[in-house]
Amino acid sequence: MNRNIGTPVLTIALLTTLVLLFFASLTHGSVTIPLKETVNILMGKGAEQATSEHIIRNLRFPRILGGIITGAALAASGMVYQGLFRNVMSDPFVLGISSGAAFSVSLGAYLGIVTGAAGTYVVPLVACAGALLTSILIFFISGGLRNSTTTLLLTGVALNFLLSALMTLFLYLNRTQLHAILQWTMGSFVSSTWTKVGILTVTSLIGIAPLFFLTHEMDLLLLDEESAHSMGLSMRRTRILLLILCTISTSATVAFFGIIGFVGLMVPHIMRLVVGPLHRRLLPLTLIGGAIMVLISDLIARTAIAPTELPVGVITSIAGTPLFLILLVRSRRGL
Amino acid sequence: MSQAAIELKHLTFSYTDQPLFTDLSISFPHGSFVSIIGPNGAGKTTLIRALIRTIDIGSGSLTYHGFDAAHMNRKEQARHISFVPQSNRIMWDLSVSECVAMGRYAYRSRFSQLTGEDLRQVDKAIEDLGLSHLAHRIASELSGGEYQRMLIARAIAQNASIIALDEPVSHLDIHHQVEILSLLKRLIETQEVTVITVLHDLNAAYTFSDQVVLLDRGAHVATGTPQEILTKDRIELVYKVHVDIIERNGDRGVKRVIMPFWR
Repeated sequence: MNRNIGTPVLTIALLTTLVLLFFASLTHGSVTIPLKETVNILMGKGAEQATSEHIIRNLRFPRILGGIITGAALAASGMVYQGLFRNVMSDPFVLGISSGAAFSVSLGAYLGIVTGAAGTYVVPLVACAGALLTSILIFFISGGLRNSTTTLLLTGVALNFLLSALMTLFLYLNRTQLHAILQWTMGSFVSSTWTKVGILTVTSLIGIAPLFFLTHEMDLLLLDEESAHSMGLSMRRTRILLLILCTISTSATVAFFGIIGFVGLMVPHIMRLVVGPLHRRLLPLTLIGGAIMVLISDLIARTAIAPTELPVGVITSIAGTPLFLILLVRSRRGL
Repeated sequence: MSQAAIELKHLTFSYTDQPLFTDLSISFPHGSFVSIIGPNGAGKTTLIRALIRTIDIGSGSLTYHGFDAAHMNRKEQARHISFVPQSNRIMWDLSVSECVAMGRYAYRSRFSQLTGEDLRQVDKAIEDLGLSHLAHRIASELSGGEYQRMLIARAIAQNASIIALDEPVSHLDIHHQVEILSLLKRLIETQEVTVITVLHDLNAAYTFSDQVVLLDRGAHVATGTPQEILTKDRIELVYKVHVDIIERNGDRGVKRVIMPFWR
């Protein structure tokens, strides 16, 4: 399909899907609330039952918004990492950056610095510090981009192992909160609140909004270093800036909703197949696509064996692993 | 040819403890075809990297048409000098026109899409390089010669007065070698650019160059016209191989062919 025609068509189709999913997610769950009643609640006309109003307003609505922002942030980060490291198999989960955030939060929980009333505000900062440190470690251990991207990926995988092991250790030492932390590490939106949605909105504005002004720079990063340099790109500054932006948006979502893998891997890859790799077209579609993927996964997680909830991270990993393997086999050029 | 396109002075550079270049100074005349030649490890690619400032030139100085490169940001530099890398394929599915349009980065503001002027320059570069029929093809699917032409089109779209190239023809057959080098030669006449290229083929360097820079293990052996530089003694000394130089009278004067001895 011609990319110029494909982009608007796909944008409209995806936005429509997102709106449909939004209402499907609001109405469906352990309790099904009719669409008409849901719309009335959203428009402030009240509900027949007070519980329905509570479910929609305080549970499902913040949960869905949390999912939308998380999906968009993870997919955008995956897109940026793939360009930044010139490897289609990069995403915050594969590179161990999500684990870095999760580990620091576990450590914070063990030390008691992310609990209590102020915990909601502290936890993203702790996660951000952990994720940033992990990014820097991966970059330095793998020798930046001088070595092959295989070195980079494997460094991320190795750090992922280490951080997961350390996280398990702190879980073990922190047995009183074992269940809550375990549920969080596998990814879940059950704990979403309006406060968290508010904080995530801020972190996403800081982490994602500037990407719209960096699309030309991200395009040049797709090329070899010398070409990009000689075309006028300040590589070092651009890379550091992008790394910081992605770390902010990724770590905040991990801090609240745990590790949700493969969204950043799958969504940009699928979108790139339709609209190509230029970021002016790719970025908006990746954001919408990420939101859709997480909403679908969350809907499945809530309804598949209702009233029991599955962790969202499990659903995205089951869907994402086969794609990762296909990419591994096919993308010899990328490795 | 009076004004220098590039003036490089006092370059000292090392990858290891052993310096590759020590106090290297070279001037590249404007509007000429300059070949950088020398055996493997001579520092040809490193010299090109110094010219496009992808390596730190330390206490050395570099000017483009008299303007000090040290005072330029990357975008300003990109308006003076463009670069064609060795043909490493783009791993993303970018179309030819998308790739060439990237050459306009130095002229684009942060928020803008391609302006009419950008599009005109991109179309002209694609047309000049005979790629119009391939403009919407995926770049990684092009043949070697087509891909190389696309990279040159990207450099042309950058609208810089100096084009630096790193071994642009070393992986091409002789038909495409001649095609690409002739094209670069034409660009000097039509667009008034300066072409500085690393070449391995001494016969190509002899045929196409106005000036040849001969390097050997970081040392600047000599700079001059091909007739001055590519002599039997000098080639044998630098390349450590016996050669025979055959001269033939042709339509365009005396043609010299450098033939290595096979044992």
